[in-house]
Amino acid sequence: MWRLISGLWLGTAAFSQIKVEFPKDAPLTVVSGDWGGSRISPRGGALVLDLRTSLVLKNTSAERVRGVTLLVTAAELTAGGKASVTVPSLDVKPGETFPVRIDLRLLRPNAGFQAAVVVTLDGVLFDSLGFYGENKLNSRRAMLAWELEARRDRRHFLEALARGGPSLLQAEIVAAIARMDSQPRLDVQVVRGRSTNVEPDQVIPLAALDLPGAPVEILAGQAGMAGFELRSPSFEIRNRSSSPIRFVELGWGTRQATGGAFPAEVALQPGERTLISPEVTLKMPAALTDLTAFVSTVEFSDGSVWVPPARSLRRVSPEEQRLTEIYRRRGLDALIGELKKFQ
Amino acid sequence: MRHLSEEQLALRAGGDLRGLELWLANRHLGRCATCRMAHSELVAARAAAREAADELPAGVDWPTLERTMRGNIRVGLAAAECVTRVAPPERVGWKVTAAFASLTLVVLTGWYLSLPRLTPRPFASVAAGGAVVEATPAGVELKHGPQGFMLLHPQAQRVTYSVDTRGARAQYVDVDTGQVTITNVALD
Repeated sequence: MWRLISGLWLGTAAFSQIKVEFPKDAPLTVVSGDWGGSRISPRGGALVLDLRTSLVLKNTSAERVRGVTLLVTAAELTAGGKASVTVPSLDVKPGETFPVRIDLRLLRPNAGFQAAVVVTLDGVLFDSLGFYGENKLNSRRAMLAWELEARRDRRHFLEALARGGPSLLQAEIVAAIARMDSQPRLDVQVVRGRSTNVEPDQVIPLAALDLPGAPVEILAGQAGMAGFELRSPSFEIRNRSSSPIRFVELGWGTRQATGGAFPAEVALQPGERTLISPEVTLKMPAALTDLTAFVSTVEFSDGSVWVPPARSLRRVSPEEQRLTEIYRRRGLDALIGELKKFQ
Repeated sequence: MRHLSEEQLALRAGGDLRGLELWLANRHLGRCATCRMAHSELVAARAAAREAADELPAGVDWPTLERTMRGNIRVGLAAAECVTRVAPPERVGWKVTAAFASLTLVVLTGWYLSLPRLTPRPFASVAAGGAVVEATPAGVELKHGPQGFMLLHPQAQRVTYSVDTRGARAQYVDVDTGQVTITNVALD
């Protein structure tokens, strides 16, 4: 009896902690919300609130939905920070429903959760690449890049199927799985702000990977290495396209391992150069001897987005991860069916 | 997928689960990174507590302490004898030591388990001012002082992380829905 009463209380308490607020004119509506797995538990002098939510959303627009980003805020706890849950690579027809899971854990030092978690709609991307939403998190740019990557990856696998049949598709997907499983990562601790005045032990020159057709060229770059710390990285880039550019993301790593990305808001006219020099220190697991960088995303001033035309050895796209998982769990026939669904 | 309860995790960590319960717990641990992590913490806590209980804490002179306690007990017993006749006390030295060791074990275990934390060590992080965003095995977490906010990814087996100057991101395929999901926590 006590378990039943406490379960009901915790469920009610958890439910009262989440507010889902979609605009009235939104192309998605909330059909239902399940808060069944939520619970509150003490840990030391703090309270931990686990909110396990599954929202069912309905596409009330006249277009197919390709991606959605939900903005999750808990003003009292996030202190200006923002969190989001994005589901890209969707294919939701008008009138259809789909689930979005949000699993949160909140930690507070004393009793009582006053501030509710608010879930709002930050953006919806349609099949036409049209966008709806407040775009507080620049979700338009991110979802557009993921959708373009998804189309590129599906095209790659469909071409393999057309060229060599199921056996070649299988070989391609197995190679993709092997690449994902063997890809080493540099686990770094990024500290924003100016680094100390201690002179670096050495300066590491940059090796730029020039991707064919990239609208931005990396001309030069370097970073200082002091012990295991990479300091003051800088990259000189040039807009070699005929359109103004407002955002560039540079992926970085070493010859062997993937590192991360340096995103930069820019105002780069055709032919112009600029220096990207984020004020950060990157604490590495070991001293680096080489540094590579490549252009991973470009956003033009008109809102269009460029992504590398070929699948990158350095980055696993969300669609690639989804397709390999379909093959792993449901087999080759299911993968072929999924690829053809988008044709 | 329902997670293992704290009781089940504690019993599993202590080797006290048997039969079907043990098989089910092992099966779940094989699939669930979150529970695996919590289980590893409990195992580590037990090992640390056992080690601490086995060793003498630095700066403690056990022989002196034992003599003092034994003396105090005898004084107490002698005082009690003034009121009622009782049988002479047995030697209790080993019992006192065992009681202290047990007490130390309980205190250390309680202290370790009471630490307010969401997750173990992060893979990668980005920090600015007093806030830090960390990518951990359980999810992506924003910590600001004693407060925490984490987006979990409990239904995933393969998670890809990335950290940049703005925050951290995790990308995974939800086991139940088959949807690829991207959670992102930004510093500002």
